[in-house]
Parts: sequence; C-alpha cells; structure tokens
Amino acid sequence: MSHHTPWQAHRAIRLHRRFIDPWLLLLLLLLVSYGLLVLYSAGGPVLVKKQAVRLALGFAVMLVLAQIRPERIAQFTPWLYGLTVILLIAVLLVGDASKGAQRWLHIGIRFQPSELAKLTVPLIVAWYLRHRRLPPTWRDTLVAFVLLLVPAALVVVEPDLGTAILVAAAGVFVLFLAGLPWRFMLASLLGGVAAAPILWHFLADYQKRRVLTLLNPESDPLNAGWNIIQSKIAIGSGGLMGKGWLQGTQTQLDFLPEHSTDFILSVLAEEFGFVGVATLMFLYLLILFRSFQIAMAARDSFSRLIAGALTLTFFVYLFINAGMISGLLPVVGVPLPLVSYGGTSIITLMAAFGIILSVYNHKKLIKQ
Amino acid sequence: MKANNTKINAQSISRRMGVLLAILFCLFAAVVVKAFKVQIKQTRFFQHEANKRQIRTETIPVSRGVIYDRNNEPLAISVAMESVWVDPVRLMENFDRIDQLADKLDLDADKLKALVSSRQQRRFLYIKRLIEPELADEIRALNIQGVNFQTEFKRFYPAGETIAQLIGITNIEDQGQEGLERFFDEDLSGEPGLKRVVKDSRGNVIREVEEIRPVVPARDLHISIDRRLQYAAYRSLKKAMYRYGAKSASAVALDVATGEVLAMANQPSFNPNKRDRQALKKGLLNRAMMDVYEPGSVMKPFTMIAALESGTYTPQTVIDTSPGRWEIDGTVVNDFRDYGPLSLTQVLAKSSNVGMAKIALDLDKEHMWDVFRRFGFGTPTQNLIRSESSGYFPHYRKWRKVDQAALSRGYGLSVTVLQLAAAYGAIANNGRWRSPSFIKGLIHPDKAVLDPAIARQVRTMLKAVVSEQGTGHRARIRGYEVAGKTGTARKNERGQYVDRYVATFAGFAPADHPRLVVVVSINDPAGDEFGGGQVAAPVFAEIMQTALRMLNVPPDHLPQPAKKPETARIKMTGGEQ
Repeated sequence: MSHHTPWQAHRAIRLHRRFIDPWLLLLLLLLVSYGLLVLYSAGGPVLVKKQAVRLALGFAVMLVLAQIRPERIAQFTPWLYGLTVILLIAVLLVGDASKGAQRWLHIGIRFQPSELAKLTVPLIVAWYLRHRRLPPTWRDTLVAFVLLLVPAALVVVEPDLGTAILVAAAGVFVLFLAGLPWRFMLASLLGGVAAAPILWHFLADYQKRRVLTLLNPESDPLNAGWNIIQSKIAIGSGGLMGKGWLQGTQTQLDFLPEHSTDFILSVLAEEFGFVGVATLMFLYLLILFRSFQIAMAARDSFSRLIAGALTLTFFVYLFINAGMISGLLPVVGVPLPLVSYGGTSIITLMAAFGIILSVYNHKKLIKQ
Repeated sequence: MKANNTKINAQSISRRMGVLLAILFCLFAAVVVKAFKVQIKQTRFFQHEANKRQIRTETIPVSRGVIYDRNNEPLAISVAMESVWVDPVRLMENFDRIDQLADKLDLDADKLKALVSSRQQRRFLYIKRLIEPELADEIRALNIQGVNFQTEFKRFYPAGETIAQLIGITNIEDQGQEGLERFFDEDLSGEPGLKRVVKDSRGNVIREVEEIRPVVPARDLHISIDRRLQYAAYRSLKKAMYRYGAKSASAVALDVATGEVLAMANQPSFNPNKRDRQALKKGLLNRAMMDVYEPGSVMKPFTMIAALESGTYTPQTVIDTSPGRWEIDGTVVNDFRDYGPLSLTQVLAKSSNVGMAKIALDLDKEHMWDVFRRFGFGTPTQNLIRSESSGYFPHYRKWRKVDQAALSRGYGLSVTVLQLAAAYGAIANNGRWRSPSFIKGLIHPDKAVLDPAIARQVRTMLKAVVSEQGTGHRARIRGYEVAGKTGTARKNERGQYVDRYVATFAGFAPADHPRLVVVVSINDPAGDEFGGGQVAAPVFAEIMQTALRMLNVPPDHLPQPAKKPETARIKMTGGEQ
C-alpha cells in the first residue's frame, strides 16, 4: 500500500467497496431464477412479475448493505432493535388480521415486522457480545436471552409460533457460535422437552391440530391433513425426472394448497422430480459453504457472529420448510427461502445476504 | 489484550461453525435421502394416488326425446339448463360470499347460510336446480370456491295446458311421471354414457381422456295428436266449462279409418311449465281415459244393435210408448212426455226411455251382454297403457229385469269417454272395432264386431238424432251430415240418483262416410241447461266443424240457407225407414 499515492489508495478502496463476492452473487441469481421458473408454473405470469420486482428490490437492498462497514451496522443495531420492538407492539395494536393472526402493518406497503425481527435479533445479540470475552459468562448469556426473548414473545402473542421460534433461534445461534457451553445447550434442550406439555396448553387450537395432523395425516384427510397428503402425492408422483414444467397435475389441477407460497417445493418436486430437488439442494449447499467461508474469514467477533448466525437462520428456514413439505414437521407457514412467493421475507433474506457480503467486503480491507 | 481476546474468539467461533457445517450437511443429506425414498421408491404408489384424485368417471348426459304431434310440432322438448350445487366444506371457508350467491339466485341469504351451515360436513348440496345457462355464467364469474354446476335438462311443453294430461309430466330427475311421458319413458330416456375425465380440486372438468360407454340416444316420439285440433278441443271444452258451470269435462277425437287419437282434452287442466300444486292436483287426471261414469242414453245405439241383430226388429218397427211411463218390477221408467207410437229410429231420435226398455226386455240377456262386450265396454281400450280404466259392466247372469232395462239406456254400467269413442268408431267404421292409437302411423289390428249392413242402418238412425226433431239437433254442422247420440245421465250419489247430470254427446261425421268420431262429456253442469243435447252437442259441433275443415273433408252439400233443406232431408230419412 505504501507505493500508492493517497489518491490511488482512495480509488482502490472504492473499487473494493463496490466489489461483490461474485460466487455468492452468482449462486443467489441461479437460485432466484430457478425459483421464478417454478413460481411461473405454480402461480402464473402475474405472480412472477410481482416477485421479480421484489427480488430486484431485494438485490438493491443487498448491494447497498454490502457497502456499509460492519462497524456502522453495529452502531445502528440498538436503534434498529428499538424500532423492531416498537413495530411489533404497533402490529398488535393496529395490525391487520389475516387467517386468525395479526401480522401485517400498513405503512405505505403491507409489511410484517416479525420478519424484521429475524434480522435484528441476531444483530442485537452479536452487538451485545462483540467486545466481551467468549465464551460468554452466565450473566452475559442471561442478558442476551432477555434481548432475544422480548421480540420473540411479542411475535408469539400475534400469534405466530413458527416465526417466533425462528426469531428466537436466530438469537440463540449467535450465542451458540459465541461458545455457549454444550452442557447448557443440552440442559435447555431437555428443559424444552419437559416444557412441551406445558407449552401445548398455550397453543391455539389450529396449532394443536397441525401437530396432531402431522402425527397422523390420514386421520383427518379432508381438513387439516389435506395439505400434507396432497403435498406427499405431488412429491411422490414426480418420480425421478418429474412430470415436466407446467405439467404437474397436483399443482395445475389445484389439489396442492398454497402452491405458490409454503408448498412451492412440492411443485418443484412434482414437475422436476428427484433431479430437480437434488439440484435445488445442491445450490443451497453451495450457498451455505460460501457463506460460512465468508463468516470464518471475518475480521472481528461481531462480523463473524452475525454472518454465521444469519447463514444459519437462512438454512433453518430451508429445513423447516422441507420438513413441513415432506411431513416431518408440522405446517407452520415458513416459506422456502428466496423461492416462495412473498414480499417481506425476500427483502429480509436479501438484507441478510447484504450483511454477509458486507462482512466479506470489509475483511479484505483489514488485510491491506 | 483485546487483540488476544479477538483471536481466541475467532478460533472458538470457527470451531463451532465447523460443527454446524457438519450438522447442516447431514440435514441436506437427510432431505435428499427422504426425497429419494418418496420420489424413486414410491413413485408408482403416489402416481396412482394422484390419478385417483384427478381422473374421475363422469356420466355423459343424454337429452330426453322430443314428443311431436302428427305434424312434427313439438309438444315436449328438453332444454339444457344448469343446476347449482355447493360443497359445504369449501363454501364454509367463503361464508361471507353466500350473500352474493343468494342475491343472484334470488334466494334468502340467511336461510341459505343456515342450510349450508347445517350441512357443513357434507360435500354435495343442491342450492337451486334448473337455472338459465346465462345466470349460471354470471354466478361462475363470481368465482366463489365451493360453488359448482351440473348440466341438467328441463322439460318444456310448448302446448302448455291444452294437452297437459295426455303428455303428462317428468320429475326433476327427468323421469316420466305421468301420461305418455311415463308410458314411453324407456324410449324417451335413452341411456347416459360414461367418460373418463381429468378434474381439478373444485370438480371442474379440465380435460376428457376417453369415452368408456357411448350415449344411447333417446328416441323421439311422434304421437297421433293433431296439435291444432287438440287446441280447438281444449278451447271449446274450456269455454263450455265456464259457460255451464261444470265440474269437469273431456273430449276425444278419433280418426275413424285408423283409430288414431287426434285430440284428447280434459278440463280442468294445469300448466305443465309452471306447476302449481293445487292446479296439478285438480288437473292431472286424464279423465277421458281414467274417469268412469254412467253414460246414460249414449248407450242406446248398442241396445238398438242388439235388437236389429235379433232379427225381430227393423228400424221401422213401431213401439207404443204411451203413456210415457212404464213400471218394471216396481221401478218406473219415464219419458220426457207421452210420445205415443214410435219407430225404432224415432225411439232413438226422441231418446224414449219407455221404448228402449220395452225393446230391451224383449231381447236375450246374453246376446245384449255380448253386443256391449264386443264394442269394448267393460275392458280397457289399450293393452299398453296400464292406468286406463276398464269401467264396470256386470255379467248377464246377474241381470234382473230392472237391470237389463237400465243397461239398455246406459245405467248400471260405467264407461270412459275413450271407450265410447272407440265403440262409436266401430259403428262409423262399418262394424270394425279398433283399439285407439296414440302413436302416429301405428294402426292396431281391427276386429269385426258388427255386420256392415246393420252398421249402416244404425248410422242412418243416428242421423235422425241430429235432425231438427231429434235431441241432438244442436250438433248439426253446416254443410255436413252428422250422426250421433245425446246422453243425459243422472249422477248417482251414495246409491241415490240425484238431480245432477253428466251430459254426453257421441257422434261422427260425415254421417255416410265417417272420417272422425268425437265424444264430448260434460260433468255436472250447474245451470238450467244440463242435457247432452243442450250442453255437450254444441261443443261436439264446434270441435267437429274445426276438425272437418282442418282435414279438408269435402262437405256433403254446399251450405245453403240452412233450415228448409235440412227439414226436407229429415223427412226423406224418415221415408227411408
């Protein structure tokens, strides 16, 4: 760097800042293109157009966030957290009800604050732990738990248990990466199992029904079990190569419910078969590797924690959705990341990748 | 210190990430293995399950056959309509939209909601059947999940109430319930086909795969009725009903040569296109075939036939009817007035009860019974149509003198209007009796029941009835010779004859070469006019006149100033006797 003039140095920095990890960018573009192809079959050109607009917006958000240094992001984190909590309270007071839950807020556009919480919760925990000795002390762990449980609790009240679990999990991932002792994790797991019957009492009827349906979908094939059975049939009848694009009978004849949102993986499985599913999983796997690579190369605890936790959250989405589709988990309404039709989730996920890319960009600068 | 701290942190975080990466990799593997299990190992099973849901067997509806009159005018046609049915399970999810649905269908929204709620476990519920296809399209455009349509056929009857009883009706399932619709239901129905179709989850047919069983098309029915004549009969009958305040009335017109029924009208009637329960109850009965009654004097020609066949009587044989009353075993037979000595022709023309009774008691019981049987009394005219009445006609062994005298003038037995028409048809057709036919071109085999010479004699006698002096003079038609007989029968209520009547006129024209038989029966006229000659004969004349003109039957003589030639002719007829 010594042989550069200050002007040249400045220019180099600017170039670096505009630089985006080409691998991750390429993989994400491949994934969303694949997703749009499936969405066209599931929902038609109108949905594809809307989704493309959201994706473009998402990519813009990602590219902007990628330019902001992780330190700046950390600085803004407490404010962002405060805003999230306020919005979550607001949604309970003035939100829109849809399918029995208050999740939506109208501020110019329809917007789900709980999606924002999925970003700000890991951010606030990473922010809290960034200058502290790791693994965290009991006291720090307790504070971190309070920070993550406040928004999670507000989401549970909406009620949206699935999202609440994801929100809380995103915070726990940070703690886990920060070195929370294994025995603590084991203890909380056992505690969770022990608390399950108590938790059962707090579940809404529809949630109980979903869990029961999961255990035996054929018990109620006309109502709650319908989705799971139709999904299984769609997947299974796809076979090795699938029935072909736009040829999935379960999808096109409208037997498969929610096929452009939560059950889009079933559409893909029906029309593109096992090969299509394996291809999708391979794409996700590559994204996972690249994201972890970036996280591991990060220059400070905050960057590392946040990049790692956000990657994890992304994949928890994926596995919950896949588990739900194949009948391993209850139907909780978690979209297939970057493929399912839906606005807020796409912006949130792209913002998460923006933060990961910011970590990537600013790792290089410190080396120089 | 801080740098060191960061370094330790970095190492610890990376280690954890390594662990996580391993776990996530296993999860990826799990998803792929699960997909492999379901998609590769169980493909067949799930493809079968998918087909089971999407590929259904559907019936191909078949339109019911058309009923045409003898000139190919439609009397009953089927029109494709749509019926609305809902899947309550799905509709309950769009409960608010029931209002829109009810509004379109002109139903009460609250009642509909209550109905759907009470059936919410079911998957099929008719909301409204047989609506116009245009309305169905409008409802389809509302795109309410759980609302479905089904093509069904509605029966329309272009001739409406003019022929309602004979044609009959179908039920909402398009099955014949009454009348010809029922008698010929099998021919008219056809057989729906079967096809395999691909259906979406809402039950809409997306694509047809194959035809499993072809449709057996329904056969159309061409009946013997002439719609124009039917209308004329209906109109005259209805007019008479109002004019004379009658309870009910029937009229039948037969083609003499073929026995085809050209008209069969009944009053009261009903509108088969807009069914009103009350009207249906009163009007559904095809009285001409199913109502039996004591016919009265219209039976006298058959007693005359027995007399002529016996060889002891000719039309000119004179009977002394003075003093106009005659006692048989304590029962008195009355004439309208004392007619004095009358020829057989005059006995018929004046409808003298005394004369008739005297002749009857001179006849062999068995022979008289045989004559009545030959002309079809006591047996149904059809072997096809089960619901026809046979009437009551007692065996001669049960006859007492009084009974025989009563039977000779049409009491003590019951007949239908159609039986009368067929019997008069035999007289008109030179003694050959034929079962009346309801199908165009279907001519039943005839049987000889009477010597043609006697048939001719009776026709001549019946012309005298319609003469100026006869009881049936109101049945005369300008330009044509008419033959026939009146009947005014007292009604029997709980074994007592009361002062209420059934007026009948049975006859044919042209008298010498008959083409048509018409029988008119008017039940219980309320006013001062109640006789067959007063009430039924004019209706007969109206129907017969229309029929002769419609069939282009050449007149016997050109219409001239009416009275004198008619009188002269009657005198001439008398001279012939």
